[in-house]
Order: sequence, then structure tokens, then C-alpha cells
Amino acid sequence: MPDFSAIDISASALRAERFRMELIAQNIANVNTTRTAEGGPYRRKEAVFSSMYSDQMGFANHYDPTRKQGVGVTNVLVDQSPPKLLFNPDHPDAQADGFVRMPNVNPVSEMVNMIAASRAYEANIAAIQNYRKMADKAMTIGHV
Amino acid sequence: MQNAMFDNTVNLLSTTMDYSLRRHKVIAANMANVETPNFKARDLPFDAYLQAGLQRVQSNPSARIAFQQPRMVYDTTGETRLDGNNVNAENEMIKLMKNTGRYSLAVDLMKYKFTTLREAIRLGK
Repeated sequence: MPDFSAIDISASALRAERFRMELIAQNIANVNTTRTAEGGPYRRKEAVFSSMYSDQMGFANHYDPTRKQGVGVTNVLVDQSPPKLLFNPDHPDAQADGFVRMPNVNPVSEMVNMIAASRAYEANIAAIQNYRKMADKAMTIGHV
Repeated sequence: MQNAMFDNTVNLLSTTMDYSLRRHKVIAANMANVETPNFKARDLPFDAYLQAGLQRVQSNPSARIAFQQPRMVYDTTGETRLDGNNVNAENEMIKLMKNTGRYSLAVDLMKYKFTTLREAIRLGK
């Protein structure tokens, strides 16, 4: 009888990918934001994924059903690359030389990340569907 | 000691089903970590253990099939990307499908086993 814990593994990935998608949406939404609470233009944020059974935790040679598996977001990193400079002397946040410090967000790379996140999400949905198929199948043993 | 209800067939099929569920978890964990830097894909190979278990039965048909715990290994078939991750999503998807198919086959065979038994019981009525 399946114990459904395999769904938790895939669910952890769904949560992580959704969080990543939210960060991407935030990056795209702030592509023109020149003022933030920290001061200066918005800086691109990125999620750091880490495996819940990483090698640091000890690699299980033997299958251990109690071991937590899956993925989690451990950190959100702020992209420290320099802000883009846009020449726009009329902008209220323009520097003395006429350049405006714009966020270091590249919409194209955000789009690529978004597609990757969405495909990874779908792959994990497929894993859950496969598991459900197996669980449903197991229930048919009784119908002889 | 064997009996008709829980013989090697049932033992073998239930082991196969149990193994498939475990392998599903390993594959699901690989897929969950498809974007995790430095993650290495794992697998739970079973065929070797199945062979070893079956060989014992072939030499002595009344023996119970005894399986060792399958050991988890690194799956090195995928190419390591720049971020140190070697999970290949297509590969994992195919493994997942094959694994589900194997489980489904084992369930069907288990059903046939019990259908046959029921037929035998019905004959006595």
C-alpha cells in the first residue's frame, strides 16, 4: 500500500518552483523601479535551491524511509551586479551627469528562467500523476 | 514452507511493487532537484538483486525468495551541467514511466494469481 510520502517529495519541488516563479514575477514587475526601501534602484533577486538529502547530510546507501527528501529554497540572493545606466536627464532620480541608475533586471533572462521554472513544475506534476496511477492501480488488486 | 495463497509468486510480485514505490521516490527526488546546484542524480537499481534472488529459487524451487535491501547508487548517465547538476529531466521522465509500468504489470499479475486461486476454490463448491 503506498504511503503517499512520494507526493511530499514532488510537492516540495512544486512549492520551490512556485516561490522561484514569484521572485521572477517580482523582478519583472520592478524592471523600472528606481527607488527602494534599501535605497537605490531595485536589485534582481534569485532563489537558492538546496537538496534536502544533500551529500553534506550523508548519502544514504541504504534506502531509509524516514529520511526527508525533496528540495527547498534555502536563501534568496540579491544580484550584486552594477545597475544599468540609462541616460535620461529629465528623470527625477537622474544623477548629476544625467544618467539614471536602473535595476539590473534583464527581462529576457527572466523569461528564460520563467520557462525553466514552469517546465520543472510540470515535470513534478507528472511525477505526482504517475504516483496516483500506481496508487489507483494498487486498489484494483481487491477486485478479482 | 510454501502454501498456495502466499507462495513465491506473491512474494516476488509484492517485492517488485514495493521496490517500484521506493524507486518512484528516488526518481521524484531527482526531478524535484532538477534545478538544484551540485545535485547528483540517484537511482535504485533492482535487477541485480532480483536476479540473485531468483537464482536461489531456480536451484531449489521450494526456497523462499529472499531479497536484500536495494542500495541507492549515483546515476551517472546524465551529463553534468555547469551548475554541477547532472539530472536529465527526459531521462527521469522515462524512468518514471517505466517504473509505473512495472508496478502496473506486477499488480495485474497479482490479480491473475488471485483470480486463478478463486477459480480453484470455486471448483470445490
